[in-house]
Amino acid sequence: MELHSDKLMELLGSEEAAQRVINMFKQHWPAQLAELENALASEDWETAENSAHAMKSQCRYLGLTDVADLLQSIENQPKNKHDLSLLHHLLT
Amino acid sequence: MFVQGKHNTPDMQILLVDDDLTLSPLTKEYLEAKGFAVTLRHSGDEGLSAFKSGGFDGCILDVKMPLKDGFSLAEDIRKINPDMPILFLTGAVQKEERIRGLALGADDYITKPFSMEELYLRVRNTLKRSSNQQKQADKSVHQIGHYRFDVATRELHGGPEMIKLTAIEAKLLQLFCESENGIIRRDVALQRIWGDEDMLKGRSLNVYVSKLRTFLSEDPGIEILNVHGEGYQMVVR
Repeated sequence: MELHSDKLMELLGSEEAAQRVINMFKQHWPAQLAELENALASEDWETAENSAHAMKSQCRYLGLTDVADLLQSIENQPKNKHDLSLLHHLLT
Repeated sequence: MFVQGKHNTPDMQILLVDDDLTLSPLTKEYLEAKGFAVTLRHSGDEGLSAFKSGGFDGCILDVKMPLKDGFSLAEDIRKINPDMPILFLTGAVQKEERIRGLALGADDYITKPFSMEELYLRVRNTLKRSSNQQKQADKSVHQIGHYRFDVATRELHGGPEMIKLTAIEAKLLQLFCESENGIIRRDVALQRIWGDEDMLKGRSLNVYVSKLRTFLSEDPGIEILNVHGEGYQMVVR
């Protein structure tokens, strides 16, 4: 998934800052996603909720509304069945 | 990374507590580029520990953090300093949180995702309001029995002679005057006067309380009592 820096630039006020966040996001995302998936699989709802919350916040900064909404629903109802395929698109 | 701002406030110390490891360092950098000194911590417990080290003019607290959340941290901070300006960072759809924060006396809120410029302006305005309120408080005059204490000049009138209090004596007496029922907790007094809870300063506090007792001794209706396990209470009958 292509990440655009427009939204971030607007929020952070600098192209350099926006690019840095995107790089950090790409670097941290695989581990964060793995943590969320593990937490859901092992029914560790508290960790799942916290992971989803942290990732959601970053997605909102990146303007990834659909992904953020999915993470919000995981955060609110971690015990529900969720389709995580959208999250994996971010890694491609 | 960020361009140095024009409105530097070099003496303003901010405590930023946010568990977002990606974005919070940028927030710190941005505010520092605007001239604030920012201490960043990533958990409520670390935040409280940093706050106890003292010297902060304002706090920015993320509401949602694991273990100790921003509200719980704010409650602890308010116990130490009821007037500390606090700005909460919160999610978009957390109205209950807003209400809880307002009940805790939040000075302002900012919703994630926020623009850095907006955050800076809100912090600046919050600190400005707080500073104005403090200036107002510093101008006040307290009547204590038949004594009159002028906070701005640190003068205590009403005894045989006017007494010019030292800065620490004046701060302590002001704390008594502004506290509910005249009760001040020992840890709060140490934090407000010296900025930490050092044991040696605790002994000094006893000395300053004794001095205030002497200064106010002309009015038998005034007592400063030891409250076991708590601190002190100034009673005016």
